[in-house]
Amino acid sequence: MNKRANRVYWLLLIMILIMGVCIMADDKRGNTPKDTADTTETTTQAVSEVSEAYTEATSSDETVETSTVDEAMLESYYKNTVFTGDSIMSGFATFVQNTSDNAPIWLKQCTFITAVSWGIDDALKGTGPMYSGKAQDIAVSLSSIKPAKVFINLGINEMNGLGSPGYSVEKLNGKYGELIAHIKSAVPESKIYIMSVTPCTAAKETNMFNNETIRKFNKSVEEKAEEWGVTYLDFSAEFGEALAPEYARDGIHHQPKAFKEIWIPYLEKIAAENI
Amino acid sequence: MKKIIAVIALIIFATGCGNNIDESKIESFDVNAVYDTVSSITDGELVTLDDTYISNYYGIDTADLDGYVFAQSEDPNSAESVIMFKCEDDAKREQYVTAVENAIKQKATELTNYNQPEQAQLAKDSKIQEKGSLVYVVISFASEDILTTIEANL
Repeated sequence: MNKRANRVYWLLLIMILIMGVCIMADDKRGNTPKDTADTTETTTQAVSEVSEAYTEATSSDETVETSTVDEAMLESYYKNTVFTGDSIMSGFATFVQNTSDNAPIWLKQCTFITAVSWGIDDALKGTGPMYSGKAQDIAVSLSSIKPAKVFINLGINEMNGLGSPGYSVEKLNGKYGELIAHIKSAVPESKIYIMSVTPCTAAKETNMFNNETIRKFNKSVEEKAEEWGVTYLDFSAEFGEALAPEYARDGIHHQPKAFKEIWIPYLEKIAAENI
Repeated sequence: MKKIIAVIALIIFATGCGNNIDESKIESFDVNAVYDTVSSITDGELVTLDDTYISNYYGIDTADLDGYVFAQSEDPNSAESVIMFKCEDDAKREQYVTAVENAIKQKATELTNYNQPEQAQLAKDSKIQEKGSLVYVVISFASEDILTTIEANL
C-alpha cells in the first residue's frame, strides 16, 4: 500500500513537471509578434484580385452591358458616396459588399446604411439603421461620414394603405420633405439624390398595396425635388409598370439578377450623364 | 501529507492542463475552415460579407482580427447569420462584442416591425459565445447543429 502511494506521488510530480514545460512552451508561442505588414500586403493583393476577377467576369458575361464610362471615372464619381434605404437597399448592400466578385470596386467602396422595415417616418423620428456598430439617426451617421453624395431609396414600407383616410400621399410627401431638410441640415455640402420607389410584381398588388399608389407617390416626390434641393432619379422607370417576376425575390425585394442587370448599369448611366 | 500534496497536484494538473488544451485549440481554430464545414448545414444560402461592410455596419476594423467570418442571408427577410472572429486585444474584443450585440438587437427589432416574428425570435434566442480570443454567434433554425460543429473544433 505504501509502495503504491509512493508510485502515485512520483507520477504526480512528473505530471506537474510536464505541465510546467507545456506552460513555458505556450507562453513562447503567445509572444510571437504578428506581422502586420504581411496582413496589409495580403489585403491589398486580395482587393486587386477581386478587381481583376470582376473585370474578367464582366468581359466574359454577355448579359452584362459594357459600360461607356471607365472604372476609374466611376470610382471617382462614386467616391465617398452613401446609399441609404430600406430592405430593398439592404438586399443591394449584401449583394455588393460580400466577398464574391459580384460587384465592381467603385461600388464596393461605397457606404451602405440600410435597415429592413425602415421608412420615411422612422427616419424622421431618428430611428436609424446600424452604422459603425450602433443603430442611430441617419443624420448623425451621415454627419460623421460627410459624404459627397447620398442616394436615398425609401418609401416602399409606407405604400400599404396609402390613400386611406388620414394617410395620404400628400402627408407622406410632407414627411419626406421634412426628412430631407433634417438630412441637409446635418450634411449641407452633400449632394442628395432620391431614387424613386420601385414597383412590385403584378401578382403582389392588392387594393391597399399597388403600383398605382407607388407611381402617385413617386410623382409627388418628383414635383417637390427642386423645392427640396435634391435630384430626383426616376429609377422605378427602369423596371417598367410592374416588377418582372424574374427580378423579384418575393414580389417586392430584388434578386441578384436585378442588381446585375438593372441597378449597376443604371448607376453607371447616372455617372456617365453627370461626369 | 503525501495524500494532501497528491490531491493539490491533481487539482493543479487538471486545471492547468484543461486551460492549456483550450487555448491551444482556440489558437489553432481556423474560422474559415470551420465556416466551410458549417456552410453546408445552414438553413439557407449565406454570403460572407467583405471588410467594407463589416467596418460600416459593425464598426469592426478587420485588421484587429486574427481570423473572421461574417456570413448572412442575402434575403433581407431572413435573420440567418453565422459570425466568428478571433481578437487578441481584450478591449477591442469587448467593443466588437457590443457592436455585434447591438446588431442582433437591431435585427430583431427590424424583423419584428417587418412582421417576421419567427425570424425575429431566432435573433432574440441567439447567444454570443466568448472562448478566450474567439467570439461566435449563430442565428439559424439549424443553430444547434452549427454550434455542435463549431464546438467540436474546440
